[in-house]
Amino acid sequence: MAYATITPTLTGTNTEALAKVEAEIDAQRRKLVDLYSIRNSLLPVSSLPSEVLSRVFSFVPVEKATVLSVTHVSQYWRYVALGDPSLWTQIDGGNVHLAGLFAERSRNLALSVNLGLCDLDEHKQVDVILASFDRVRDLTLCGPAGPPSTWTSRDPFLVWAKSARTLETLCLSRMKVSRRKVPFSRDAPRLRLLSLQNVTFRCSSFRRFTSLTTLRIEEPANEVLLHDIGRLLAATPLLQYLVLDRVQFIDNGDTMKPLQLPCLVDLTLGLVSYDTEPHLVAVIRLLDSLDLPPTTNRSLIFNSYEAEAFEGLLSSVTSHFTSNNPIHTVNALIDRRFCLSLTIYPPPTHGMEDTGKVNISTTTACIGTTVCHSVFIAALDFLPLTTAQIIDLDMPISTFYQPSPHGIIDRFFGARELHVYNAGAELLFRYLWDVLARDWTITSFFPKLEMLGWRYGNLDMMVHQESLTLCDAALQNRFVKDNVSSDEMGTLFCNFLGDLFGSLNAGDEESE
Amino acid sequence: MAAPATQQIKIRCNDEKEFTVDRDVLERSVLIKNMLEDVTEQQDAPIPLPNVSGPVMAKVLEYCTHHRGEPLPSADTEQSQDETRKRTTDISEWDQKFITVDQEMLFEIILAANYLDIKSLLDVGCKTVANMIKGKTPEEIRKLFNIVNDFTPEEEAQIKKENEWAEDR
Repeated sequence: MAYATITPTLTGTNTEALAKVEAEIDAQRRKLVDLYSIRNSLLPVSSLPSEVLSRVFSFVPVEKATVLSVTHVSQYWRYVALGDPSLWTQIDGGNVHLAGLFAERSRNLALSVNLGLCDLDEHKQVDVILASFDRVRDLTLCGPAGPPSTWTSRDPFLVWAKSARTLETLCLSRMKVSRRKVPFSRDAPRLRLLSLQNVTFRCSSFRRFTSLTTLRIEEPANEVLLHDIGRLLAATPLLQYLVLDRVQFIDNGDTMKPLQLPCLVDLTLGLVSYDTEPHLVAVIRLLDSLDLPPTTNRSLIFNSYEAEAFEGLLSSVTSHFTSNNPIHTVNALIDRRFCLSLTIYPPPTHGMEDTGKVNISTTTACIGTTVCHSVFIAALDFLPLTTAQIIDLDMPISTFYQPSPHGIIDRFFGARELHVYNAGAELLFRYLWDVLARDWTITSFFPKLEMLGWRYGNLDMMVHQESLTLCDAALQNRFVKDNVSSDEMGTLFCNFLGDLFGSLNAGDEESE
Repeated sequence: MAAPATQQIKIRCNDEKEFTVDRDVLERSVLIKNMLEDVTEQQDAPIPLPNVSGPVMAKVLEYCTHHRGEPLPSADTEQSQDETRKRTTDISEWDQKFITVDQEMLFEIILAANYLDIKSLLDVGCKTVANMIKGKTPEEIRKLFNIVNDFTPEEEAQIKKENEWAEDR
């Protein structure tokens, strides 16, 4: 056929000829595709049989872009990838068609679904998921960022009104939960992690979670009855990890039933109180009702407390209990085993990063750049310290611990180890020698360059310590920041000690 | 009764190249291990391995010798890895150096490992290819392996749709 002779007018005859040419082009194109396929089959990579190529794909991250990429390489790769349902089990955003495609290609395997619910189309995604819900293993649904009024009204718990037999993890963010619905009405026998973040909910709606080991409730939009939290916890007999973060408790004065959580490993009550006394009282009442194993780690985290405000809070809370001494409230928290670890984040200071904090636990005390020193000192009275840490304290300690700067040191005497990271010269050389003579193990002593230039004769105590480490790996960065290499630091320190020994010996000779 | 670990076994590749190897080294291959267990009497004739060439077998033996004595993966661990899909693509330093070969040899080693049923070597090879693929576009993958686009117009249309869906968030 002489294609060049065909004129481009759409007469009846030409249309017929055009159709013929197009059919021929199509046939040639298909022949070419066949040739390309044959060519591909002769390549070294094509020597891999489908089961081996599938194994290669199994090591590729199961994420949308990568999975689609391998199916868009060649016919053979597409054939192999579509034949492996395990590649299609993670539905992560994307539009409704893609979600449907993944659900279909994953066949009957368990699904992990992560959807942001921002518009109607994504609500349709939920419908796609609903169709496959009987095999969803992990489900994360997230509403739009913004105030509660903008949260999706789609009730996520409708999803498993029928059953949640395969569900193992469920994470919901920024959602309203209807008061009328009862989630898990037929139980969620395999659910082991439940995370509710910014979710409006009623604890009383929940049924029993027989397998739940991790429960996180973070910043619910509504106030939560203390009693309801108790009921929720009563439904989780195997709970190991519990986080109640920024929960606004309401204490209606009802008697709290004693709750046994025999498997609890870790309890964190985060940012307990918004500077209001009833919250702390509610927390103490909640904690009072819990019967926990003695080995459970318990953390209580307070936010944005000026030292005076915190003391004031403790004073007022204390009035609900037996003592009127705020220090005794700290004692009460510890004595009741509420608080084996107490972390207090100070309010951000202008021009400084909000990194300083006080951390007190039965095993560790740490002083940071904080204004909550009085709480810290108070708590030290009650803690059997084994390790003391002084970190990032670059100002004279007397600034922090007036009127009795030595008081803090006295309270360290119970500790067997001292870690000093990046502490200022003032602290090290004015006060620490008092304790260096004790039977302490000093590790990770980390003086800054300028510290080594200071000459304090009473550092002699330091050389009697069982161990003295100039730095450890984690602190190498600090060396870098100070533009001092570890070798240089070591040399400087050796010289310093040499000078020190020299002066001591000279002093001894003189005295003799 | 199990033969002593020091027993020497002969194998013959498809290019007539022969190797005499300690039995425990060869038994990294489940295929050969099963063959040896099936043979009751000691035989002097070499075991024929018609699907492996001499140069590739030399590489495989290098791997087996280095990893001799290490525990073989059990069927259970293999299955649980498949189920959880939490496989790592980490490869040990020695293995990485070992598998740094041209593409043709890489695929030959993978095929040999598959044929000889040496799971750990198969995984080293598959992970290496997976690492080569990771983060690349289809066009980049094609270029890497000298593949040409052989999709039919219908497949092209479907792929175009999938790409549009993937971009639509």
